[in-house]
Amino acid sequence: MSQSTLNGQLFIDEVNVAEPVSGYLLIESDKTLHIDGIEGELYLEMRGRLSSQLKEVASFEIAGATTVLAGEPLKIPFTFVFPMNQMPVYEGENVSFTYRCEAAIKINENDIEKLEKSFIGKVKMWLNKYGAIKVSEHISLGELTGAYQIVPKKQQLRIDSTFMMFFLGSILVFLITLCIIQKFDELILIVAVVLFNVALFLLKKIVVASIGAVSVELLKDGTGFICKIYRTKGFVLSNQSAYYDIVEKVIDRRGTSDTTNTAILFTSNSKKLTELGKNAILKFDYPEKKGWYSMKQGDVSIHWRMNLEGKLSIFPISYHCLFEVKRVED
Amino acid sequence: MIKKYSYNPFAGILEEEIDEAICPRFDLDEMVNRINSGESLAIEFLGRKGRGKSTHLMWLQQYLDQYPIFSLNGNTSFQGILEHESRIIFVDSIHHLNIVERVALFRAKKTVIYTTHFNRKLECLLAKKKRFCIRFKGINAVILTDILNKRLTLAATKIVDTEAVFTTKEVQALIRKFGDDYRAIINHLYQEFQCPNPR
Repeated sequence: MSQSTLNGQLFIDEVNVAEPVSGYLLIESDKTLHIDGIEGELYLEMRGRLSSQLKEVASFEIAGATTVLAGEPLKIPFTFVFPMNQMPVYEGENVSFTYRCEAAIKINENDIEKLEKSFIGKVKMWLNKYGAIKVSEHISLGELTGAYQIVPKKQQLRIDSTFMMFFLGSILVFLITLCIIQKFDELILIVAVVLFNVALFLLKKIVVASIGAVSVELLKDGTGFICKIYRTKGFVLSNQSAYYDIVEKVIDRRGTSDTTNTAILFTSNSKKLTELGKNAILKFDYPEKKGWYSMKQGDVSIHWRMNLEGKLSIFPISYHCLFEVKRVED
Repeated sequence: MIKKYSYNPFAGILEEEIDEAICPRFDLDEMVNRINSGESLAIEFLGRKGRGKSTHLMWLQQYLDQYPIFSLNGNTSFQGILEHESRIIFVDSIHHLNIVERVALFRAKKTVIYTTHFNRKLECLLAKKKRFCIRFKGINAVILTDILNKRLTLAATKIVDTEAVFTTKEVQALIRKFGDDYRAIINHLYQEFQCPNPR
């Protein structure tokens, strides 16, 4: 006896958050098939330079027990509500977030053996191990973006390990190693690694102590935000400037070793601080493009970073801190 | 303009898509029979990173899902693996265990199917385990073309003439540039397909 095929396709209107959405499932088989029920599921789909993932955001019933008659297309209308407070659709450098709807068609166990999995056109169907056929379709989501709003915060900036530290640390380690050990053996390598880290740590402490500390206070301000910069007396960096950037970070755990991919999504104008005295007040605007809200979803994150740069003699020094910007309704 | 692809075809795939995306390096039925034969074995997927070891491991486990798979990139503890009731297990990235743990694991379990960058002959010798190795090395234009075309088909919103997307010359150029590092090739193409109007 030849096996039967079941073809299905989902049709869904454009989705707007918190409003009822209409759609229908069209299924057709060349033999009569009994269905125990059809469940609808909405997923957030993360794809990019990582193991792609689906995260269920809602489920609903499409139909109860029904029968697909041989050769007669069955159209099953349904409605659902897209839940509020979901991630906006996002197309980044290393990752994208979209939403998709799936219909899980639970075939009656007496009919499963009759069935042959099939593909038609753009529709992908899977017969999973629970005897359900899945039909999926990406959904077109209306505007999920809103305005940016900073989460007020006061914190100290952290100094970055710069080229200067690396350079000086390397020289220091090289000189000390030469002085202590005259011949090359494995010990040199171990001592060099340990000394390098110690030297780097000490150098960082010395630089921080000699330059002074700097902290920022971030406050809401209409279409942008205020950044107040507090520097300790005698903060000696020259050519100081501040800017913020938005960074996308994706940890790729595929395979036997992890890789971190980062991309700068946006960099603000850099503002000079040299003539602004001890405490500076800067105003920054948000980017025109929406959708870059602070977030962390598994191995994917978007974070906003305030940066302060300057020079100690000829050596560039930079400080940074992370801050949060959330989405609010316009 | 109608979008050709629902998503970037060279993004990471979902677990449920592996079966359709993979070009197997070994005969599936033969491997399943080997694992179910009752023989005590260490089955090694050996190769450098980016050669498809983990993908093959996950794919094989999907056909033997009565046996668990442990990824040692995450928070899985050695003790948790050892104490798991299953006598046959899959382990991704076994190099995250130290040699003593690997020997203990080989002794405790009947069959361990694992990915590794270096062969585990010594551990198998110490655990008196028979070792069966599959090397993930080398590439050819036919297989690579097949892999790329499967990715395009999976992501396509309509039927795509995949032969028109990657010519033999382009595939050979990719091999010249990246060698047998599939991951590097896929990542390179991901970047290329991120542009607003991909091929």
